[in-house]
Amino acid sequence: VLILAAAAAFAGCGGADAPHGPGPSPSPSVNTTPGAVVGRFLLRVTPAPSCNMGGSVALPMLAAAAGASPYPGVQALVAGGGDPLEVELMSVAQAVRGGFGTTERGALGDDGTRLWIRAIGSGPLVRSADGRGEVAAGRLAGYVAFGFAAGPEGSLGECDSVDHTFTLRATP
Amino acid sequence: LSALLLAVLASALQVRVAPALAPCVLPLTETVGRDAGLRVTAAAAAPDPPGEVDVVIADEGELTRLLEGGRAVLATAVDLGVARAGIAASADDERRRARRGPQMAVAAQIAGSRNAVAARAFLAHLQTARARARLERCFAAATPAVPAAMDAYGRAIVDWWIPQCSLERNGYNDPEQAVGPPDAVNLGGPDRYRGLVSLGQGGYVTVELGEAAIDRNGPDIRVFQTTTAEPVTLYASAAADGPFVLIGLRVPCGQRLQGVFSRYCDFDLREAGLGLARYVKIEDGEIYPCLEGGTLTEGADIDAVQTLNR
Repeated sequence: VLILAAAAAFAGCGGADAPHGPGPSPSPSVNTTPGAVVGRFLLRVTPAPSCNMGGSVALPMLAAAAGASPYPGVQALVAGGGDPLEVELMSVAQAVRGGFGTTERGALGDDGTRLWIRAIGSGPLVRSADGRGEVAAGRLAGYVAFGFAAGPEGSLGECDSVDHTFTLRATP
Repeated sequence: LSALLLAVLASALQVRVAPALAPCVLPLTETVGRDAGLRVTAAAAAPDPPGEVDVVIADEGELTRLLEGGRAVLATAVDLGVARAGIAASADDERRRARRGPQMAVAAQIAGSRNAVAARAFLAHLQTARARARLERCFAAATPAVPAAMDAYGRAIVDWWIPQCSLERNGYNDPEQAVGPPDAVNLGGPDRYRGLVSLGQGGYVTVELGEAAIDRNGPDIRVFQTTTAEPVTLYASAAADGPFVLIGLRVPCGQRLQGVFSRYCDFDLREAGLGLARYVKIEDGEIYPCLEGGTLTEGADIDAVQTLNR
């Protein structure tokens, strides 16, 4: 009886090699809900392939909540000042939409390319590694132009399209 | 005598003419100056920033920021006729002008001009029959054809959004102003209007049309937009909650209609393959940074929307 009981008890312990274990242990729940779009981000704007402008331009941005009515809003500005690039977004149902605008001076990207933009961006929010909301695959409809740092608007190309893209990635 | 007195007292009147208009306008400035008894120095250059000049002459689209921001005096602005899109200073300029379409050429005095009296005399002489006839010959001025109007304007606002930044800085935030027939007016001076909603940076209003628009020959929907030729993006749908289909992207909205203060731009449902639209989403196409705007009317200024074909 003792041997049978011991055998039964041993079998009940299961183990990696046990053919009939106790079932999968519950996995920890993964929070996929994007948090607020606040803090430091890297905005990357890529012209539509049909524009043949090549490459993309990235700028560090600082985002903050901006209003709640009629929809919650987000305002993102170029971090550290400089020529303005302003992003005004509404945030609804884990997605954002709104205007990306520069003045006539454009805004200098981190690789020395100057960006001019007047476009409406939209895209789903996803949860970044640190829990904030970010845009991993956004679309831009409107005007995008590139130029040399001190050159005129569009000296490296300009294009109207509904197929430009952008990302707004959370950064530390 | 007064013209002679002006000529003696004032230094030469500095006139800046947008390069695209220079072939027609520069020769005229000399004649008009002579007629007005003024010493005029005119040069072709971009109108913005205006620098030290007294008068600027350009497409109204090029003068948007000067007039809206009060750097040019709106009350002095005079229309000189519709300039053809083909008069361009360069290939880039030609592309931009083609995108905007024909626009009204406008002359205005720069705020704070030291030759304000002479500037106004010059602007008055630009409007004489002789001067206008000369310009018309060069511009081939044309009044846009007016499709048969039907009284079917926006009936209700079903959705809207204007960024908080724009709500705090603009003076015209009531989306209901886009309902009904065009009724916007200027109350005198820059940024003093009634009867419009300014969309701010990338804002929109979604309007239920009084009568559904049906795709027929020609444009089906007309948007009335008030200040200069600020661009408008239009989406349409058969249902209030969409899906909304893009009809026109950043379309310059500055055509003129006799007897209506606001300008307009037209949209054809056929361009998006839509047969019918009952709801339209009108979105700002200017998309100028809100914090940099400095006016009470940032973004496209929507007065009304009209069903042309039903």
